[in-house]
Amino acid sequence: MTTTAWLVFLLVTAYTIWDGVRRTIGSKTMEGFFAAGRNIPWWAAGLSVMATQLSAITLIGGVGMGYEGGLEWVQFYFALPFAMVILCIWFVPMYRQHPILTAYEYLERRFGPVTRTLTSFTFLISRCLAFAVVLYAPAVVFSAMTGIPITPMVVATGIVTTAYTVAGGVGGVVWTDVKQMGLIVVGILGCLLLLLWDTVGQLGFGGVFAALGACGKLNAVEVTNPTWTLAPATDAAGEATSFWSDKYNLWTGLFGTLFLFLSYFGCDQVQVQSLLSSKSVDASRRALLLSAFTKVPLQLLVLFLGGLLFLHHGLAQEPLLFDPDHQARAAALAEPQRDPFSAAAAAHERARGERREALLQVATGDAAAIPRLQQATIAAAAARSDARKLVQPAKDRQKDGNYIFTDYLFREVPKPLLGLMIAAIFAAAISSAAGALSSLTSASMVDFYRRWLAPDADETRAVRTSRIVMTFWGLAATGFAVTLGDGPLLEKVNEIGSFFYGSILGVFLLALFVRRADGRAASAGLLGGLLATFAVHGTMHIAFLWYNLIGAAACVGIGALVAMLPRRG
Amino acid sequence: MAPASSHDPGDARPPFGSWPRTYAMSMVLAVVVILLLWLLTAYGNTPLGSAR
Repeated sequence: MTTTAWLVFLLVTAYTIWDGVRRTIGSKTMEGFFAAGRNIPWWAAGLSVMATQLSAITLIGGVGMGYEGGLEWVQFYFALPFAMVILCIWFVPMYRQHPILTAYEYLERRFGPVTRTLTSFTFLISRCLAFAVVLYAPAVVFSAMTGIPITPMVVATGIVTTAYTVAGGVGGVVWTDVKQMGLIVVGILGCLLLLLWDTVGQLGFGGVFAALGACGKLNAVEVTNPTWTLAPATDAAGEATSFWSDKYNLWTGLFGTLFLFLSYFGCDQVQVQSLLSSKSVDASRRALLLSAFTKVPLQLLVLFLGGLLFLHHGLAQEPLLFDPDHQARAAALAEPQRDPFSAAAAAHERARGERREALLQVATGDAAAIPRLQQATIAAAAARSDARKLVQPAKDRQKDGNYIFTDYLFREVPKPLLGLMIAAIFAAAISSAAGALSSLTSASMVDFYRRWLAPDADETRAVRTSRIVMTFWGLAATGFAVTLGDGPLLEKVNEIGSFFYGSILGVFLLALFVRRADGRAASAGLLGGLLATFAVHGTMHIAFLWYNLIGAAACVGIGALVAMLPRRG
Repeated sequence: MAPASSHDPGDARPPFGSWPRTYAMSMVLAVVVILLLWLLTAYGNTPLGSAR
């Protein structure tokens, strides 16, 4: 990175954080610290919900997914508006009828202290591991691109996040999220304009869409897949695919993710804290709907950016390897592997030339060139895959999707825009981390410290303790992130939330819709849902999105059954 | 601490006059967006490997 890029990055980041935190610094009450005095406007709460959900890896990985897989990932978000409407109707009034500070506080009023404590504890387990990954994952990518070691990068991210969250509380997080969301949108639009300028200039506006469609990149809705079978594949280690193991299609998008979003936006304190901070029931509803209807267009923009980058590389020079670690390994290849690597590089070069020629023909309306374009596209991707396998034998480290966007940023965009984009990606990282940090602290303080350890603590003491607990969580997660190591855990841990989300959602569904359910039924449902999810994971090959539905259904089913049992006494 | 008010004086009216109408419009809009994306896929996309 040049001095200009560093300067833009540092100035933009410092301004964003300062302007967010100055509004709420020095809160003296728990409601002020954890709910911003219930004074956040609906649009700010909505933007905060979006910023918290959009992590750095979602942003840079999203462009990579658009580059490699087209628009198919957008299906993941199809259920979001439906989930938000359900949350607006049932969950928002449930939370806002009492002045609560955590989602789990409501459960004590409905089921008693045991269910509240169990659910909050489940949340803390699932969230604290994810928090470390949110800090670690972007540092891996930036370390590879800048050459700065991972540890100082993780430590800097952790300290910045902890400092501004401790200073501003949830209000500071929300107002910083608003600025960060604006920064992310400006950065994405800047890159989009740059790539449009280049690709439309060479192919024409219609030509860009014709070329994207001919390469299979306009695949926003996938209804069927010829390799599907309806019976779940039981071999978790095998490559067998079934309806249940396919992650991105219309049906997982509508039904699998519906339960994920209900749980994430409706029962996860990370998101619920923004809703509890807004001014009223109506403000919380507006915030959710704002988030629902801006998320899909934003995700489309990110994926479209990936598609344009694919065309840009197709017309110019596509790197054979995007990951700097792969490039370094390629340079140091031993003799036996050098020949096959050179063959893969030559195959890539040939396919790239054919693809460029076919792209230009397709853009002029020559449909006869589409089969040639597809063959060249498949051949170029296969050559890249072969090259990656040769330089990196470890299967879980062969993917390079997260480096496609950063490679472009560091090599090609003007330095001020590079600084702005790095600030945007850093903003995405720290906004997600800050949301996790404040929610971990509010659950620890409200559901454990104030409930069990110091119920009589006055507000000043409770807020002071909250800041200490928050600092502890921030430093502990930073320390944990430093020791994570770049291995399979990083890939797997993103799915860990889905092991817990469904069961937590099930407890809230029992509270809302099963009148007979009591604390005993809810606790049994929660444990049963968790067991069912882990059992399915251990025995079947099912995409993790379905775990949310499985956990929720098992929790509600078991809870409803227990509720029908006669009560003692 | 008082319970939160159900209405925000600054945003007295729901976006489409009433909340039920707002929810209905939201779901219709979501379905329209999915349909438009399906049309884009059906008429603008050639699945990779399918062209002969």
